[in-house]
Amino acid sequence: VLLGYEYQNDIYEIKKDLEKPYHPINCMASQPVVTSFMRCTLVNWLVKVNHELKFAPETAFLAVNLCDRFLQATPLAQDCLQLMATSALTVAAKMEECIVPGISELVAMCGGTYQPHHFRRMEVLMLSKLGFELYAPTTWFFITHLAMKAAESGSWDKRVVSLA
Amino acid sequence: MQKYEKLEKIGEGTYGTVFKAKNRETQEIVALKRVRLDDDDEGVPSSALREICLLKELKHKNIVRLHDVLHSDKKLTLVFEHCDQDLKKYFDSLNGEIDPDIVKSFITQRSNRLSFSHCKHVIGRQQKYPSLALNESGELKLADFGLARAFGIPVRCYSAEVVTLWYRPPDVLFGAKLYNTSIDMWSAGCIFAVLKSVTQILFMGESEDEGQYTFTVFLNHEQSSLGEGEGEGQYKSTSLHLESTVHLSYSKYFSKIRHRRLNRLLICNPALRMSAEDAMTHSYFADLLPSLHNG
Repeated sequence: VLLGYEYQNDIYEIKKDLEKPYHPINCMASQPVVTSFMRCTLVNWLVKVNHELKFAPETAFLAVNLCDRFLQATPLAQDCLQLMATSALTVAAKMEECIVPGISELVAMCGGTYQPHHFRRMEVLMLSKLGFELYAPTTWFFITHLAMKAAESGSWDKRVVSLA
Repeated sequence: MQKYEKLEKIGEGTYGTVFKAKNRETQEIVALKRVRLDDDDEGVPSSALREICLLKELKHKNIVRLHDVLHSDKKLTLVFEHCDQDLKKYFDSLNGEIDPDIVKSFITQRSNRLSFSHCKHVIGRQQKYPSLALNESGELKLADFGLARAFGIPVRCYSAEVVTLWYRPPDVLFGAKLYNTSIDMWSAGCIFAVLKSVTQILFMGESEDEGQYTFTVFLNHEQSSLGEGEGEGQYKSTSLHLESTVHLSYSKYFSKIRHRRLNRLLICNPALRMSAEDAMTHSYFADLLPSLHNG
């Protein structure tokens, strides 16, 4: 029996209710410069960084949700894109992980393109644009939940989790 | 910051300073928690982030209400509902006498809100009685969410450096990183004992080592005095006796039924510890008004 098993269904219900308010809708619509292709490159980069920092998959999914909701609310210049994604990953890590990369690490991660104060300002900007609403339900959550349900009924297939 | 007029400093939270303040427009009294964002640190502290977004999700009468978040480049200000005193001050003013009914009411409110936040997948990790606040009408509010976090299923590894030492459960004290809601239930047991005995802390220790030591000695003592211990003295950080229950010799304060309840909260094995929902249905609360149960 898993730890916290008795709360599994409660958590699912809450996350299900929160799915809509946290779901980004047409997040690229108001972007004058940033294209879907750039976003795609960005997400690939984020996933790699997430892996390198040994973060849980949940953190990467959360970071992408934060990125998309930020893009939906704010027109962004192309040269700020990586800064924004890095901030999103840091915020996600602060919510999910025990160890969070320091700002000097972030500077190095972006190859020195941005200064430390850029990261601090972007973080505050992102938090205010998102109204501090950070516990977004992620695809990863739903997939693992369903996978566990499948495991209970004996139809567990490891490949299901890889779909996320 | 023009909207609020600072009245006095109340104290220091997990991060930042807390002030009592007045809303200039509505004259409402609030508590302001200020987080400084200095140039040489790592941005917004994760404890502040978690506290803000958890409190945005948790709206309950036994949880302190977060009204607003004000921010600038240099600081973040959290605007909380103001509570008149914390439980520690309240006890100090009582001089060691407490009405059992008040204890019961407090315990119910605590269990109530624990059960609520556990269902909302939040573990508090910060149960201690100074962080429980009281308002004028005797409503108990949990005020400090600085260490709280949301948990998922399956539970992942979290930091073991949580919960004030005296309220830290043995599994976590000995280094367990895989824990969940049971961590709060142990602390709940400790606070329950504190409430009943009025300010007598159960497991006092100045450092982690000492905490482990106090705990070990306590268990050994209890086991040998009860004559049911096996292999006392083997309590090392690696070999935690998961089956043991902490037996309390607090008979002075506890009638049998309460004692039994406490025993179910202070169980070393986190998997066997009572859940917040079970606690709510315990016969100890049976004679309380139903209104207290729904909130």
